[in-house]
Amino acid sequence: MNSYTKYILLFMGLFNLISCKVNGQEIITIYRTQEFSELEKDFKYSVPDAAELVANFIHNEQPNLSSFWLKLDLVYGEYYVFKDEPYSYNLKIAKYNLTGVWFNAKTGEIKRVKNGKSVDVIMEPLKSFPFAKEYTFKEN
Amino acid sequence: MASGGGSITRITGGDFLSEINGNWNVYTDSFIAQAGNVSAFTATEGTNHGNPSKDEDPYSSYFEEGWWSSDKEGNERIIQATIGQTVYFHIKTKNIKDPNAEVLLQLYDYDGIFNKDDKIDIYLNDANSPLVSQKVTNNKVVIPLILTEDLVRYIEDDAGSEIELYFDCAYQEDQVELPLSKSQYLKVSEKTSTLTVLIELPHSEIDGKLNQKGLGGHTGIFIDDEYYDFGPQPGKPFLSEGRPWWDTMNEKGNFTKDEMMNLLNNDFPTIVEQNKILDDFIVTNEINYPPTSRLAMNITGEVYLLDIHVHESEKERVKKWWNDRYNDLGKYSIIPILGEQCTTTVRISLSKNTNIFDLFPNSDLLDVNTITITTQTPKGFLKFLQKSGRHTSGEQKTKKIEVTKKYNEISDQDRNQFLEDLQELLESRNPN
Repeated sequence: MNSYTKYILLFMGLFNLISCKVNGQEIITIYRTQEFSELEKDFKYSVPDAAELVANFIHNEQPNLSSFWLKLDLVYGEYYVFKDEPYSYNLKIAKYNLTGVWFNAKTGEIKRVKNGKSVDVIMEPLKSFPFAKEYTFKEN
Repeated sequence: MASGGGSITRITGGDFLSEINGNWNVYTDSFIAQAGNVSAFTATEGTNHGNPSKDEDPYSSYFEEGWWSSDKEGNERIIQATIGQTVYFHIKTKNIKDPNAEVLLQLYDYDGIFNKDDKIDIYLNDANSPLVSQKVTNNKVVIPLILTEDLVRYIEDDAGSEIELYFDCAYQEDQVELPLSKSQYLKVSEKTSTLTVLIELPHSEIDGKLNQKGLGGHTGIFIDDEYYDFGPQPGKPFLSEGRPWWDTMNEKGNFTKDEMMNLLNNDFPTIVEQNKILDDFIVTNEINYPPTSRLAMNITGEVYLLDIHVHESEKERVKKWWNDRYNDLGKYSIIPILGEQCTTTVRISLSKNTNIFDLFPNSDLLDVNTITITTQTPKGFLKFLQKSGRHTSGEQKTKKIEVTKKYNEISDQDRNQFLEDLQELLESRNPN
């Protein structure tokens, strides 16, 4: 190993050390897993019920939007993270960007999170069954 | 004069006249004369038909002919064969009356008129010493020959795609090269094999610079019945121990070519599979898709397959390279000096073990859209293969490598629709 490589490895090690502290994050729970089933017991709102409310929230935000998809892969802490824009997860990078509409499963609070941070999460292919539903609104 | 079994070919655009004061005698096994218009044999004192008083070729008195065949009996004459085939060389002699007579033999690779022919030693039945002679039985000699991989180096030395084999034969004072005509020499070539490169481009709706640059796509290779690829530990693309990527994602931990091809042909799980997924989910609360569709494997970007026709030996080298690699995968990194990526690994396996990039080995180095300081993109590799890659064997030899098959990306809309339908199917089973 040459000295240049050693410096890069050292830098990356330090970076990882720092990033561990910076990225102190809420618990992430993948939808439709054992863990989610346990977590859901403490929640007031189910994902489909929350999705209805989020759909209305988006409709109020953007009344001219006649239809859109809501998709949910995971729960961040006690927030359902709904995506209303196309989003693809890549296991090689294993980061999930939290931008979207957050729904507090205990309180019903809804907020749009723009430029959400990316969190580490492993979602294996063959084991992912996100929530997905299309919402259509008649134009006023 | 063409002594010792040579041949003479004369081609002339105009007339060819021979004026002979003495006799013109032709002794041959067959005599063919063809004329476009008129054929005339005239003689002042008449034309005789019948057996000549003398039929003797003083230059090959013991050797009548030699030929290659695919059968031991010598009935199926051949002038083409491939590595791995068993062939037979037959020598028909005459006037050899000694019951213990042996013909001296040496196999050669004909290298053209300007080069010295390559001497090739052959070993019969695992003999320790090369064959130098063979007994004559009833004026016939038969030499069985297995065209082994050892001949590949002569093909490569010739910088061509085939070698031409003949025997130098001698008995007493006679020495001939058989077959008598070079056109009957055995042309031995390698079998043509196909390697197939798989390239998935990043999905058009994927976000993130790294994803868009290439990490959102993937590259793998099919060799014989197997599929090989290379990836990082999940979430550690900057530096981690490499691992097979899609190749280990089924229960067996190994995808065959057929399995991977089948899944590429199915965008979504079938209805039977969907019901099984839901049956299992209701019992276990876990989702397990069978690895039989693109959605299940999250292969949603555009997928390209490119068949590359190469010599069998090239394919074998690529296969060995990947098998060795799987025993010691090395580091994965999108930083070139730290490790390899899926795309560079496939590229290296091809450039090190085949001649497909020989004509344009680095044509993409100055193309910033193709190769960057951080990564070789799947899109760039696709472009490079089509621009610089050439088939090295078969009918497509020297021709450009082209896309053999393309699979469209699965749109976000279609993916979501499938998930919604599956969800409704689940809800219909468990309304509460």
